[in-house]
Amino acid sequence: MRYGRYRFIACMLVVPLALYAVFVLSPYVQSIYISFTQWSGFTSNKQWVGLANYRTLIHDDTFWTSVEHNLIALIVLPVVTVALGLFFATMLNVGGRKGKAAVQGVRGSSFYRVVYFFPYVLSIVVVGVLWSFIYDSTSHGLLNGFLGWFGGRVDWLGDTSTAFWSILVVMIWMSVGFYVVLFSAAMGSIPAELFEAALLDGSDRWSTFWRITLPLMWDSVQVGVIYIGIQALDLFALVSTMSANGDGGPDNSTQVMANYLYINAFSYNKFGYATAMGVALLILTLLMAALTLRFTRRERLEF
Amino acid sequence: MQSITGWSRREFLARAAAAGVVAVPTGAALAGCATSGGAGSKKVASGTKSTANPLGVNESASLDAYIFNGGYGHAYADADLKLYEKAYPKATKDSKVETGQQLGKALQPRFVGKNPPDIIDNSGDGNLDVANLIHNNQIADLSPLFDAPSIDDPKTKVKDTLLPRTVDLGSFSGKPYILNYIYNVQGIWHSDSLFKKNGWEEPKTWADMMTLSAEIKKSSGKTGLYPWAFQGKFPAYILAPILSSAAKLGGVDVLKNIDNLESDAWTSDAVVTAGDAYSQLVSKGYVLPGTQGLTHTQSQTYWARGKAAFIPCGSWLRNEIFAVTPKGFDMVVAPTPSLSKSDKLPYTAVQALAGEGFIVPADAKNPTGGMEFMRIMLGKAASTQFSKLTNSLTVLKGYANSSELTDSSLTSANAVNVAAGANTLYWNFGLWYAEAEKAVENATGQLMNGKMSAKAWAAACQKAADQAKSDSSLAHPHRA
Repeated sequence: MRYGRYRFIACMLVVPLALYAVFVLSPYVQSIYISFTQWSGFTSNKQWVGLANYRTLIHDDTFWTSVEHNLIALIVLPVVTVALGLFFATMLNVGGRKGKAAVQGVRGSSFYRVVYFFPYVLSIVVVGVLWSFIYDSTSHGLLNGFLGWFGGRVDWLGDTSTAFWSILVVMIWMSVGFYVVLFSAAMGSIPAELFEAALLDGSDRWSTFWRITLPLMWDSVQVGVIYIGIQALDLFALVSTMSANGDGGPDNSTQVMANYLYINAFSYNKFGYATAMGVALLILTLLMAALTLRFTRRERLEF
Repeated sequence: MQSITGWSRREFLARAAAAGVVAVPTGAALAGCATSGGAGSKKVASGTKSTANPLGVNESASLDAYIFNGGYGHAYADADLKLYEKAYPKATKDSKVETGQQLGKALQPRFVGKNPPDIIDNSGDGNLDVANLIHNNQIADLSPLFDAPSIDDPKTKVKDTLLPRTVDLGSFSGKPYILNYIYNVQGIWHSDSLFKKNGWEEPKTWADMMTLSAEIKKSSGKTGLYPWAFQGKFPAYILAPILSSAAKLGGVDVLKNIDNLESDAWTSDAVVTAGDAYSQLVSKGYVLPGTQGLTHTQSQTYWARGKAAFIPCGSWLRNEIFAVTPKGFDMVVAPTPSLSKSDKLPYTAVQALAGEGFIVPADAKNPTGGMEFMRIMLGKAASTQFSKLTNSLTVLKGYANSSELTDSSLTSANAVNVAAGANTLYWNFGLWYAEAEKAVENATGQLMNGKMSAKAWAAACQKAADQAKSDSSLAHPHRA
């Protein structure tokens, strides 16, 4: 009875959809309105200023610096994180060659599997604080202590040329574990016969990966790229906990859109302007997701 | 790989993204339900004025205090509430001291909903932008409090019992809105015991500072002790002694011009000379290598562990790093050295300013109660209690000579403050112009990283000030 089924589905959806409308959709609509106003955030009066916020945004150098940093992250993060995730997942699941079973992980893979996931279960703020100590810029810091054996010392988070890259490394470090698990699951669902057949045909690890493993888990890779891409457009928590002055310093060298937005709202009380930035960020994020979906489209392999 | 909805994962993602499920940007969700209006506040009726109750507090109304839970904790406020309850025994029922951090976020909904606390200790990272709230008439004028008789002496007005400029500092366009309760002496700190052991004296001129720094630096390979550390990740800390020195060199007008956004305030000779002097600490290698990348806690810890002789800070330093300070370290504060022999202000001039701003929201239910709470805080009993609990001074005059107070940081801050007399330095730039202050801090970080010359630094600061001046959405208070 199709009619009854639809009614059932509709009934089940009323509550979640209502919650979604109130707590997700309505703030979006309000945000778009707020972005056309000048609002300090602490009163209920907002002054309508039309497109003024967007005009200011276009001429705001710091905003464009932030966009640039987000774009760098958007290129670097997915490439490095997904590549590392694929490499580790392959090694853990199908990389081994010893023993009777034809397809298995490298020795100790069950141990590594747990270790890789460690960073991901840590709270992002904890990660930021821990790494701030690792990046301690005196010669007493962990990394600098190591470099000190070779007579080196880097200012890590204190220098405009190293600060942003230092933060990106942390982002990669904490994300890889998740992709190892995601890709491991995808690899686990590939029938073992395919790997065995490839082995019998004399395929080495490299060509097995490119011709068997990757094509059969393309869907997961795609999801992974989009997901980390969205994180690359955010980066708020790490920049906020690790950067100098907590505001994308030194001298905006680690500034990202989300953090600049936050400062404008909560430090400068320019809620209208900050919301205009939020809307710009929304548009960019949607664009990114659409483009990724478009360019990673491939023929699906059924198995 | 078809899912039960009939959508593949790809299609699902595409649709979800279109609906904005996947891509929730921080900003779009930020405003929440902020566009809804707020309910009106219900003020309590005022009580009858008397000698014991000069403000006319409603004796049966409860009091709602909100205290920033930072370095000073809230034990002092709990004690103050006890004093309040003792004075108004009928009001005990629902009175409370709430505590929190990031006050801007915590209290924003209550301001929008016209239901703010009766008294707020507005401090710490992410606090309320008071300038803006005052601009919107959301903060109560504290004139009744300052004109009321003090709690210790009914013949003296509260404002006459306070350290110089306490009232001015919390005033906007001539009206007092903020009670800055804690008196911070901001200077350059060293360990008294370390200096005595080495026969060093606090340098009173910049030339002496450079000589002593050179001496310390010479043996730093062996001792691990460098002349200076500073809170590199938070450039406001090193900006403070730079501006103090500039003001000593060029007179108080240097700071007034900065506050009033005058067109050559930052590019004046005094400011450039001071910036250049402090940047020499870096260019001559007198700083702990890497101090530019340290937070306040990291750098202060290195200083307390004997890796640096000097560090700039306010008198909250003692509490902030008490746990890591070795016994017998005896930290003391001194004013910034004079830059030249012809400085307009004496060496004893020091940046001392009342901080930790307490406010009473205009829409509070019991604003008179909030002010009465302040009046109690400004009594000798509450102030001595506060100093015992926090080893910091309050803005009350002349109570800190009490023999009960012995901590080296507290007594040195008090001595420096007494020696300074009327020559106390302060500036409002950061308080009035948050965005320009960030730009100034960014430039100062670059100055102290050797990436900017003093001239370029001054020009960058001036540019930020000029921008603040032309921003019509800001109030431009005038410092006389």
